[in-house]
Amino acid sequence: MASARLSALAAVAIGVWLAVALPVSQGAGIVTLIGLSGVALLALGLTFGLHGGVTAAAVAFVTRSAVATTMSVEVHPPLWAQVLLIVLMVELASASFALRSRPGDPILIVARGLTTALVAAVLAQVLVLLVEGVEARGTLVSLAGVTAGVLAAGWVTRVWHRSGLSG
Amino acid sequence: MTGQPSPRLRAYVTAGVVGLIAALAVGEPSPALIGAVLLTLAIVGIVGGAAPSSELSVLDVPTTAVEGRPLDFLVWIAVEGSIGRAYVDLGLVGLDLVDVVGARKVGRSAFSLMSIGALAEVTVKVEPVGWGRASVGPLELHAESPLGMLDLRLQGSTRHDIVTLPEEATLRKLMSPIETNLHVGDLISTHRGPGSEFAELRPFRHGDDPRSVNWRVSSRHEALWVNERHPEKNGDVMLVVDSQVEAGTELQSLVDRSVRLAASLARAYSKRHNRIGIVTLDGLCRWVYPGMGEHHRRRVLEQLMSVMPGEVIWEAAERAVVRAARRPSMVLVITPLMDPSMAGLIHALKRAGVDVSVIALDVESVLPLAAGQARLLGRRIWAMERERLCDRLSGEGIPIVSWRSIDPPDVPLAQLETWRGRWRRLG
Repeated sequence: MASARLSALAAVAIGVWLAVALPVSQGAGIVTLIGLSGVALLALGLTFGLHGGVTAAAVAFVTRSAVATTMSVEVHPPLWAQVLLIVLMVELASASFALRSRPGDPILIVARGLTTALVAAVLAQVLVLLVEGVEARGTLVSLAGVTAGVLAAGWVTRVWHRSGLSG
Repeated sequence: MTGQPSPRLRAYVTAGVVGLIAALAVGEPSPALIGAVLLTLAIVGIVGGAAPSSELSVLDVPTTAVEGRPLDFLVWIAVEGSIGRAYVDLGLVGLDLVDVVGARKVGRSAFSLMSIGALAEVTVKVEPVGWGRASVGPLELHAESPLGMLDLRLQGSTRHDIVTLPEEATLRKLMSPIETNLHVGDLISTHRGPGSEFAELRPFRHGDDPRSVNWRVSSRHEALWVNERHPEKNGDVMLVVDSQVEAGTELQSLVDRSVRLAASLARAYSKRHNRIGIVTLDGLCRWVYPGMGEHHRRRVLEQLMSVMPGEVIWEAAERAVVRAARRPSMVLVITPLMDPSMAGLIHALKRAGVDVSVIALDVESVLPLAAGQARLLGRRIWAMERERLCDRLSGEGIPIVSWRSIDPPDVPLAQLETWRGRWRRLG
């Protein structure tokens, strides 16, 4: 239980750091607010055992990043670091839930979370480099949108089949 | 084995989709990049994390255990394919996990396996905690898909019940029943018959066994004399366990002591080929008529295991005890003697001609210290009343001893035997 609490605390700490990483003085108060709302939802979820808190926090940080890009402020931290922190936060929060419901090796769980976060950060940086090298921004974004739709539909179908509800 | 989406999978997919939609909305690629990374993680996790069909079972779980003595059983896990790190929760009740062979112990009721190939066998060593009923299972296996996107879970179907018997003290000295019955045993009967203990000599009668002729005496008297012997018979021992104490207090330890003593007595008397019966007085009055053999002793012990502190209905209890504890039984009452009705019941047994002895548990040592003058006075009055009950029983020739918590169980039995011997000499 102690490792579950520590894991939850670490997840919230990462969330807070990510939320306040962009100074409010740069006129990005709304960005900070979105980030902090995500942290609050995460903290609530972890306190009351609601898995939805993790999802809400991840969504809040992605939204925060999207809103930040529309402002004339410097993207901080860099995209790869944002991905790393979001993934790490989700991993630690999930580990906290897992450690509460069943026995587990906290070191192994944290090690796996770190590895996943690093892989995700590397992947994000590779994508950034790819995008910077392509001058077809509108096409790429549209392509990403269509891909999202296809992937989401695929995932829903897969989960539906796995759940056994499809008969 | 079933696989459920883990919180991280839901988070990655939802945040990924939101990222892609947000990118479309703001016309910037950054959110789409974040979303794409999260969705990639989710997809890789789902593709590599199919739930394999598997089976989980427990083998060789004994049905009985003795308090403090470890016992082993086998956990068998069969998987079609393989899974990564898995945790198995044994669902132990009344048992402590001591050691695991073939896996790593986690906490007091679980073990973990680094990975499971086709088959895994784990030997589990557990130790019963206290006497009573314990159980293993239903087992639960938890595992995660490679990236932790799915929670894999497998639940065993059966629960194995174990009866944990109290640790039985070895009693060196036992009270012997005065009257014996017809079965062969270790007690020397007062009657005459075939046996090894010499009783007396008498003239030969038609039909006597020639092997019993005492030739030395016969030659001196110029007539045939035969040896008469005492046969070795067994006796009936009826244990009455009174557990009328307040539940949830320190007095509950008296029930524990009573049960331990009764179990030790049952074992010791069974070893000497006596027939054992039991009456337990708690909320319910239940009894087992005297009998012999290991199966019967187990019945007696199982009834002992179910003794709970409770209020006795004395009218029913008296009828039941007098009915179950008939002559030639020797009745041993183990009681905290908290209720005068218990003394009434013992009187009733004595009136019925039953050989009854009482082991009164020392109650005062387990009571909390009385605070205040009024409580102190109340405690003194109560102690005097209890003492008066003991004196009354003792005055009627009923052997009664107080068993202090520091004394081994041999002590009250030796005291009872001494008491009975002295009473017999006086009588």
